[in-house]
Amino acid sequence: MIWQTSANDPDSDVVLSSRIRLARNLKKYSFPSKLDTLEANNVIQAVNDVFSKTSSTSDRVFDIKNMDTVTPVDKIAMMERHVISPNFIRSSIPTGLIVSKDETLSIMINEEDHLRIQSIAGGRNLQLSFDNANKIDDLIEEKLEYAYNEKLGYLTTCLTNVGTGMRASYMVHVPALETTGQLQFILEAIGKFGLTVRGIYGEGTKAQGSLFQISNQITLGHSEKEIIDNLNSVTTQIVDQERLMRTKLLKEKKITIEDAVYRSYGVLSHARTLTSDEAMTLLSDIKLGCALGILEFEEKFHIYELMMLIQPANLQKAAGKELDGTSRDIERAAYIRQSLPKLKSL
Amino acid sequence: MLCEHCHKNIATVFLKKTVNGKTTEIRLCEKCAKELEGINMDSDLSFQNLLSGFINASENNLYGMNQFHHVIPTCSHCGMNYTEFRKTGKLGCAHCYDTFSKTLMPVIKRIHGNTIHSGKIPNRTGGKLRINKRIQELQEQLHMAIAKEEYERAAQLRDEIRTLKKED
Repeated sequence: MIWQTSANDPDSDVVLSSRIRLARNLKKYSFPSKLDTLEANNVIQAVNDVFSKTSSTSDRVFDIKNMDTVTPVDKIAMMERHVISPNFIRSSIPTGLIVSKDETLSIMINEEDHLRIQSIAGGRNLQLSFDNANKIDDLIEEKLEYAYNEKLGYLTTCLTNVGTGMRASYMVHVPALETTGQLQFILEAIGKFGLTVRGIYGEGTKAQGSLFQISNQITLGHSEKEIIDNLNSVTTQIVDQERLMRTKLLKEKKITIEDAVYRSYGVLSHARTLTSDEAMTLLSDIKLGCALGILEFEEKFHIYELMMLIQPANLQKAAGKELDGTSRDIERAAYIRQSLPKLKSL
Repeated sequence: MLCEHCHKNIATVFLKKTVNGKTTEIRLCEKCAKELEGINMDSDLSFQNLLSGFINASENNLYGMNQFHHVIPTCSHCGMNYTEFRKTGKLGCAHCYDTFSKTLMPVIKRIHGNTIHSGKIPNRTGGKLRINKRIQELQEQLHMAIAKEEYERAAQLRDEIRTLKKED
């Protein structure tokens, strides 16, 4: 399980995952926006060579994927699991992907930049994500020369990534801040710290199930450590505020919250068809119910992982066949009924 | 308030233009704004559009309005021209940063509030940078030594520079 949060992660009630993304370009080639098919393939080959020679020496085993042979459904499924970006699927030039077996480390080749190194960890583990991404970055740089400028740092296709080329982000679950309307204030405030909030699949995507990504906007002029420290201190405040609101809600509207949580459990455990939006909202209620101690399950289960596996493409992969909208909703309801553990009898 | 152009509709677009340091203000309705200034209020405010806005603003500051097309070069390495960059917000290669440096720097400053990288230095490129800097220092010392007629010291420095250049 890739999203397994370590048992002693103290902020797992709010922070679901940590992610680092490094944008890098090779000095020798034009950026993907100006790359023809032949050159794009050369870039892929150059990066693949680094990993085919080193994969056995590092402790992780990497899979070098030829994206041409990956089916559209598999691509979308990987996107739903956050292994690749929505933008990567739409690329008009050949692309490549190097991914670790546990999918926590991935390198997209020929996305907006030649390389997008990504490292994800469950829970609040941004330093671990950074260390892992940084190691991969060093490994590649030993063999290939990056486009780097003494003054501007790492040169990227889009000016918004120049400098460190780093985007650090936390996925947070903030239902209480969302329902009480407090989130709006926080969104306005964090802009002042060079941070931003996006939907669950990044730039331009909508929020589902009260999940939001907080990440740095500024990549130039701050060191990697400063960016991470900055994000950490703001996230600590968001975690505190969310908990405060949850406690307040529980105190003032206990029966309303309990009722909503149990109703959501009731629907999830008995419904025969569920849309993705509805399932996300209900699972978000369950997650909140667990965090508040209203619900206790007989066995541990990872709601966030389930949230990814019930997305359309992953569902079709699990079913082993293509499904239209209606059959997907039926399949989704069945999948959730099967995955949802029994409640501990009180 | 009515539109200052057609005097019929309510003015909803307040346009402030600064051309060569001179600021003018005009209040227009949506229709006139679209016709006269090409401002489309229906279009979505996507990130790319915002970025283009940044780029346009910095152009106007630099070259005054409507003049830049004659001034801005094309990147000789990847063939990216300025109009294309302005439209997509994407650069074509590392050399574009030099080619368009004059207009890029104010945009970078606007986005990041900064124009100097203070993060990671890659080992390889960083190593070269360090060696080049050291060679420069030694060459200065060499000139000093020759000027002072300290030939033994000069010979030492010359050898040291040779070794570093080989490493490079």
